[in-house]
Amino acid sequence: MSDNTDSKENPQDEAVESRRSFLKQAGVAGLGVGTASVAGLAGVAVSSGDADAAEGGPYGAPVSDPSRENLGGAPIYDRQGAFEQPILKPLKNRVLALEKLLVDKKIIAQQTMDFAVQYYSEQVGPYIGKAIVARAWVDPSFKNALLNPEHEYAPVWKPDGYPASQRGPFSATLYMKDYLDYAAGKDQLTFQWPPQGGLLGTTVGPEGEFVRVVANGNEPTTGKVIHNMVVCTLCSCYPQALLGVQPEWYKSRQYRARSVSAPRGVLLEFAESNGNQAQVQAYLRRVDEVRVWDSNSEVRFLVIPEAPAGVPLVPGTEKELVKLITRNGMIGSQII
Amino acid sequence: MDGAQHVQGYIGYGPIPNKQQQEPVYTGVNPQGKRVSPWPEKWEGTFTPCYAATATAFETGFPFPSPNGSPIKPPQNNNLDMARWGRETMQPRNYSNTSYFELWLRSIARWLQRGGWATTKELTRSRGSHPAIIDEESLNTAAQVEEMGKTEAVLGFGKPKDYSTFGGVLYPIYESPEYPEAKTDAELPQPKFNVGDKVRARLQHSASHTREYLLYRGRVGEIVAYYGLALAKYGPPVGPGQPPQIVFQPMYQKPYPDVNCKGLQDILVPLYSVKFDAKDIFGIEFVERLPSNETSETAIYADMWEAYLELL
Repeated sequence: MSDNTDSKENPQDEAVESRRSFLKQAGVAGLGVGTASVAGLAGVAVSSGDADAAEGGPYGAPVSDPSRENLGGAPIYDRQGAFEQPILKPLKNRVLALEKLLVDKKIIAQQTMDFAVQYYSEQVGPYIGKAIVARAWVDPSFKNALLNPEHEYAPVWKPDGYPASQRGPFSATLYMKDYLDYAAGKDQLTFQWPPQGGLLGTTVGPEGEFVRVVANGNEPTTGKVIHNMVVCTLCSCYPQALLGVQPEWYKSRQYRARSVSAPRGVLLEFAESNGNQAQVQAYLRRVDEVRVWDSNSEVRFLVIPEAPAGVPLVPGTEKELVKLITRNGMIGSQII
Repeated sequence: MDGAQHVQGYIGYGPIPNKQQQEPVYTGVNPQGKRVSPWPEKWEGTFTPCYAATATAFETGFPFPSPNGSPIKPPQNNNLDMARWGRETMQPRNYSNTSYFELWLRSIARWLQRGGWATTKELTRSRGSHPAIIDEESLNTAAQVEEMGKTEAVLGFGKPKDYSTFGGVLYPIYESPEYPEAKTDAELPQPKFNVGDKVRARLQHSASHTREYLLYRGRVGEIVAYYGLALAKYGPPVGPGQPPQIVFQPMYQKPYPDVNCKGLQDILVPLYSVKFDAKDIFGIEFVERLPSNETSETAIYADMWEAYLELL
């Protein structure tokens, strides 16, 4: 803008001036700077004793913390496409460059890289969670122990029961590990566990140390029918020790955004893609409460879905039952 | 950090992608007997171990595994919460246009640069047939945000009490009489709240990493569980050069992320499961209900550190 008179006659400048005035009144320092024609002027003006500084700087409230001045002050308005990201090579090539750098600098040994690939693609996967869920379906005392891990528990693989020192909020992780060892030993299941001795000793592996298990269906304590859905609304925290690598949809901003505000809509969207809308509609008619679990600490959640109606839940049939269970069902985005 | 990653409840992202992504299978247990990789593309399977192995090495020491099998003292100034903060230290507009793996790649690059494990030149120039991993401006922006985070108050701790230099980098030091840096389980803080207590999430404005998202701040919820607290204990390694085994304890053992992300301090703060009624977050008129079941309720459960909460 040239001078004051001109700016009043120019609708575009007037709009900018009016917005600046609004932001000034609103006291939004960072945004006010954003409408300035030169980035970073606010800081200069405040420190140089500009007349406006007395009433809070030229573009808004006083900046009490000087480190805030340079952040968010980049001009972002219609006529300037500032701060576009520099053009880099495709992500794939840069990931391979990172791997090379880590190995070349001996930060990570190549064998460790290979082990990590093998761990995530062969050792962990939804088959672990499915084995847990199948057992919980046929063994009510196991299910009860997973849901209420502080209660006394004496399964067949530990007839004397777990001591009080091992019973607490996250004992489910120990019960699951011991069950998997027991089942692998008895060859009841199709997988071998643990193929190479587990990475972290007595727990079920990374992202499996602090696990809470929740169950869909009737909740005896409240008499309500519950549906549980798990999300990490910030990034992608996931019970990798039990379900393996996250599916793409779980990491998507779409799922992160909507699962908290519209979990039923998310369920119905999955139903549409699965072709079982009628089943999910009927399910939602009898659900009294939808619980969304935000994985915002290191605690991870596993959902025990309801078994399909009419399927006999008989001990010894776990090998068949695991075929009915889906990964999405154990996250709570799907009804099985 | 307050930024573009807080998408909870945002409208307009469109349908959830790839809902039918095949489940990973590695043995012949699927009907076709085919192996299904957990990663749609092979390079994603390269990235995951880059992150996992780097993170493990940061927690257990370099090089990992160690050549002679002896444990190495882990570097102090790196942890997972720092990596999570690293994903957020972008211009919000750029964050919104950045893909999942790209965010992590940038975070790892900054991780390596700040820790002194790779130089800016190594990260920003092409090496042989390999392209530059990241641009210098992105690294600078991240560093700038971190500088700002270093001076900021943290819930339960206030502003930094002091600064300490480690590896030539200045780190803030936080202190709280309520939450000391416990060296033994006996020094750990006792929980102040009980199951059933009504609590309000305290307000904050964060330039560093926090797990108290905008969605929860100022909201009233109910404590439904206390997760216990214990210092992590380690036994002997599984094998030569492997990380030490964690000794099983059924209690929460991870540090308070808001301080942990600053780099030098592992402080444990009691952690609770808090139930928020969706109507207290979105308003009763906006809680999602189906016409066929109008009495159905929605609850959002978040894990909240004690310092985030005040008793009502």
